[in-house]
Amino acid sequence: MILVFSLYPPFQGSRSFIDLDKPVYEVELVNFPQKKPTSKAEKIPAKAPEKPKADTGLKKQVQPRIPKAPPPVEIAQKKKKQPAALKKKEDKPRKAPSTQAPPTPEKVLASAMADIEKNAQPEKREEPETPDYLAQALSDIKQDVKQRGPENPGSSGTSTRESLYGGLVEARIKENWRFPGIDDTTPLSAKVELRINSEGKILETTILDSSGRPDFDRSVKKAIAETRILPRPYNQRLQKIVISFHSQEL
Amino acid sequence: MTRQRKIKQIILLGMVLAALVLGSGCAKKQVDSQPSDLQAETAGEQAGETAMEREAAEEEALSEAEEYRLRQAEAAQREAEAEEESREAMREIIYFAFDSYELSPEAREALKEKAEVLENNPGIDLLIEGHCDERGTEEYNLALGERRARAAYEYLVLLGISPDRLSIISFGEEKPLDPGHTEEAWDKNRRAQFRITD
Amino acid sequence: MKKIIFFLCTTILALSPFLPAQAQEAMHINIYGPGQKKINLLVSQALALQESGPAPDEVRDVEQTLYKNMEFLPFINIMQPEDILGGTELDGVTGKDIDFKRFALSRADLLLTLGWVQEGAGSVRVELRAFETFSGKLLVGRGYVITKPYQTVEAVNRFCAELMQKLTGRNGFFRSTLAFVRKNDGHKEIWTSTPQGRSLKQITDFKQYCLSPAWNWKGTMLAGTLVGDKKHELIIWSKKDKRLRRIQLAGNTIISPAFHPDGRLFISIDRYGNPDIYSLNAEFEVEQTEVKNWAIDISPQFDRKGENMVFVSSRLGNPHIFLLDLRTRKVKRISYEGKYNTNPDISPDGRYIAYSRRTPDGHRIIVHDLKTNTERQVTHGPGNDEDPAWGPDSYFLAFSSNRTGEYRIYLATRQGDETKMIPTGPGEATAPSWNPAVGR
Repeated sequence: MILVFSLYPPFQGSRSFIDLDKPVYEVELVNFPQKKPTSKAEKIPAKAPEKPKADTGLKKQVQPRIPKAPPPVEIAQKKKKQPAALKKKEDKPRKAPSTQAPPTPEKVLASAMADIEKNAQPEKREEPETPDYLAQALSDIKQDVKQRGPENPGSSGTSTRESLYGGLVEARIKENWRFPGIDDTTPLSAKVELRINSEGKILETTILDSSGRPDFDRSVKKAIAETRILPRPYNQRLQKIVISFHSQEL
Repeated sequence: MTRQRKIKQIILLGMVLAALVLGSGCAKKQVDSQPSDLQAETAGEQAGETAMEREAAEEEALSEAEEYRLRQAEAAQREAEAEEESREAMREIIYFAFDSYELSPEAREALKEKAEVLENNPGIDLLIEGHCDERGTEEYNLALGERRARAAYEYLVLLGISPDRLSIISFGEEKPLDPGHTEEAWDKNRRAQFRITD
Repeated sequence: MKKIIFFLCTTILALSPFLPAQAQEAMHINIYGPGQKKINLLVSQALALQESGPAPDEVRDVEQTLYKNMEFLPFINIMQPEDILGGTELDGVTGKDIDFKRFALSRADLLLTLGWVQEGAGSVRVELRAFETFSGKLLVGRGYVITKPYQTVEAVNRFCAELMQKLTGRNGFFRSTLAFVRKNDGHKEIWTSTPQGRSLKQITDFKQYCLSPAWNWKGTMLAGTLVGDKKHELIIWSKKDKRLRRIQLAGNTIISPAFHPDGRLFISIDRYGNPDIYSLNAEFEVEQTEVKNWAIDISPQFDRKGENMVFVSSRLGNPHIFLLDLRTRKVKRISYEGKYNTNPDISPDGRYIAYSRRTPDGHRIIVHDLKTNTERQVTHGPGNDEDPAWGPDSYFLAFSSNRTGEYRIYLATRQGDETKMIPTGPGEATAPSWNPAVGR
């Protein structure tokens, strides 16, 4: 999700900490209800048949094409492509970016890094400015959605708002979630239930499924505790939010 | 170098000729034994003649000795020059293209000259050094250096040199001739070098 | 009537997914990955546990060492005192004396406390504790009595190793040894140090070119290549008696010695006119041919189990990385991109292969994941990044880089975190080898 990405303040000094696990295609997450992780489709398999180069075999993972953090307008364009793109995704594994004969990955990374560093926000910005930025982006999207009308004529506009709200909640809590990223070999997951009031204030946190690791569970609880207040729910009846925290990126 | 040589040769020749001219003026052929009937000649005359003959003989001996010394000197000179040429031929470095251990035509020529020197000097042995420029990684450059030295080695063996006289060492990228980081420097460093050992 | 009711109910049920959202009360969200892969750490001010004068040097040293150690860890973000509401002074060093809420509010995740007592001349007792601020829980608590200068580093290293174990399940970083090559006065010699760049020791003094140091798996021996004036020799250094042996082998060239976990030394020599890989017995005599063909085959490395050997071969025309299964003898190609891939090292857990690829911008370190068959570039220069060596935890990578103009040893991680330089003193430093044995 573009919004989420540009909020992250993980840039420490000039030798930036680039999280190469962060997927390029997070945009999709926002706009469709999460039924199950789409990671299977995204994983670039080795020896994918469509690789045109003569020596087939290894598909390297994204020499990450970390995109420039585009202004919210671009999200619209991407959204347009969504229905087609999603279908493609379900049919076959995603074509690796490397097949499009890009400039050398090194250059891409360098230019992307330069862009990111330009856009990098200092740590302090996390607190007060965030809601404004979110609100701004949110209103842009809302406007955009209004202009184009609902995507699925069958469903009401609510599902879009729900997805948007979900994205906002995810962004806000993720921002406050810190966990050492040293062990990516054993994936951890914990499911937590939040009870909120009509203002978005988090009233209660309950662990539904523990990860089996007390430190992971605590990190998750801490993230929620530090967040304290979520954006105002789009629907007054929304009282419970269930969040599944996963240690692995997609 | 060749011009100097010519001049020296001319001087040498001149000296030899001069010696010959001088020698022929005074030097007689071997003193023959006189016929007995001429022994009646005065002792004085005989004595005088003998003195003259001795002098002449001495002069002849002198100039012969000198000629001999000169010839020795010339020979030594030639030998020294030849040795210097040989050493030069041996010192000549052969160069390689990037990431390659193929011998260029120039390299082959140089190796032919080296083979000649080796043939003419059966007493000496040769150590072939292989070198690389800094652009690869250390261990692979050790291997590449070895291949370069070995390429030269195999060609020399092909030209008839006994393998017993040849040895190889790879220095990889450790001993560049030019420590610079430019194409020029790298060109100079991709080489095989030769050291005479005995 | 019943039928109608039944019909209504099923209709409602069938329609319920399409009913307007008002009926919905819960939503479900997934969050993949934390927003920050570093936890925030605060080192509080050292506290005298008894009335005394100013803090002795040992305490300063402990503080400094603690900071320096933590700086190496890419998953730790050290907080500045200014970031903490109410400052970093404490009333006490134990849990009951600390107001954790204050630190939690300032977003500190970990709090380290340092208490000290001067116990007579030349003896200082230091207490180190690590707390998790969210729960107030004590993660690690240790006391150390320091009577000699070298003990400060030892004490802090042990504490950090325990802390790292608690946080990540690994502790190799603070309790292992590096070997590397240093160039001084035009010569190359083998040195050892800790991965933090302490305890620098010179091992060889041949005044020639010592290359490719390699630890054995127990950490008791180092092998290397000695490039002398006229020939190559294999050198073996024994840690116990500090003895250095020089051994000649068949052929002219000795390249990349490496120990198998079972103790055998593997090496590349040109016995038959071309660098091939052989294994030697305990007396360092050639025992078995491992890889032999017309191409250059060098740089073998092994994982902890000793089942797989990674190596470099030019059998395709230019150097690439290959994996040999030592049981089945099957060879698998690992590198496909680029034309010059060398310096492979396989992680002790056998899952990752790090190697150096030459790109138009210079050499870069690539990590290949054998499980998912994907690759990732973990360093970005500038200059040349070469010779990766895995740490015992299969997480850290030591490598050498001339990004500053001169070659030095750096630390990277498997995930491509920011790199940190390991201070090794004057002179270019290359060819790191990381002792897989932990605890020295």
